[in-house]
Amino acid sequence: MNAYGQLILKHEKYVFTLALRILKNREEAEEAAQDSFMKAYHALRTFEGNSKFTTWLYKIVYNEALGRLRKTRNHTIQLGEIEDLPCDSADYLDGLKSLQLAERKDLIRRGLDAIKPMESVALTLFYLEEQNIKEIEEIMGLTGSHVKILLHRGRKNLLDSLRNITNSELIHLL
Amino acid sequence: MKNLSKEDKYIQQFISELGTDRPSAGFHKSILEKLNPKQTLTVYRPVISPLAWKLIGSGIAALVICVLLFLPGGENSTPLMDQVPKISIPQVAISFPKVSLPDIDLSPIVIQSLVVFILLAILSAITTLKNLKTS
Repeated sequence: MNAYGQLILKHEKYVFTLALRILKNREEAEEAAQDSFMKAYHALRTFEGNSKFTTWLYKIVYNEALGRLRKTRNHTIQLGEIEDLPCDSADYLDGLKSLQLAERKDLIRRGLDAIKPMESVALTLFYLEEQNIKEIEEIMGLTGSHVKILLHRGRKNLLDSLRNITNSELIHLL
Repeated sequence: MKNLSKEDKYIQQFISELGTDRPSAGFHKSILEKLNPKQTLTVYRPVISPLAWKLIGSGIAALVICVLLFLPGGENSTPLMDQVPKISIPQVAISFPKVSLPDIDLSPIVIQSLVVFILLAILSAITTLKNLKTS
């Protein structure tokens, strides 16, 4: 039990963050993360070691959070056509870089909250957890091409939402 | 494509800067508590202790025996109390200072109830003392 306690301490932040990216609500995310750890504890014997422990754990969290999301909201995965990113994205991102760290963090958080949960999770797994496409496929139960689409759309929608947030704040300032 | 890779780099940097969110303080403990719930042992402690029951029982038994022995059974029978040979107790002449105490005439029922009340009071005092010692 003590060993599992150490395991919880090691992974609680990532597990909670993942649940939060999907549910976008701290209380719900905490409940989902707790239930995930409990499910993982009871299913530890079934972990065969074919994949990384984190991949196995994140899969449990992902399914738990998604299950909760489906219960509360009518949620479906839509993978439509991919639009190209606007050309001035890099300039805009350069502008973001000049912001203070705290401001930038707040903006990114709000941007991630504004995009679809699946895209937010895909971006978090890819950029924060540095999971490769193969591992994200396993966690999300999608094909490689679907994951790539999600990442592309996630990047685009994140930039769009960041632009919307900054524009609306500028309008408020004016 | 060049733009995309630059964006990739930026998004990676921004998401890394944002980092992870921390759950509430009791998060880790509450999971362990749910996984290993403390077994609460409920020890049965009777309101009236066995000793108190024994005292009550012996009191009632003594009362019944007294009633059977000392009360007359019929018109012709004499109560046991009267059959006890009178023992002549030597009178000791002690001269007490004359204090005029009022004569309290109590009926037998009042005396009995007083005795029972005193017995119960002693019982409750004993049980209270025992409880204080155990706690």
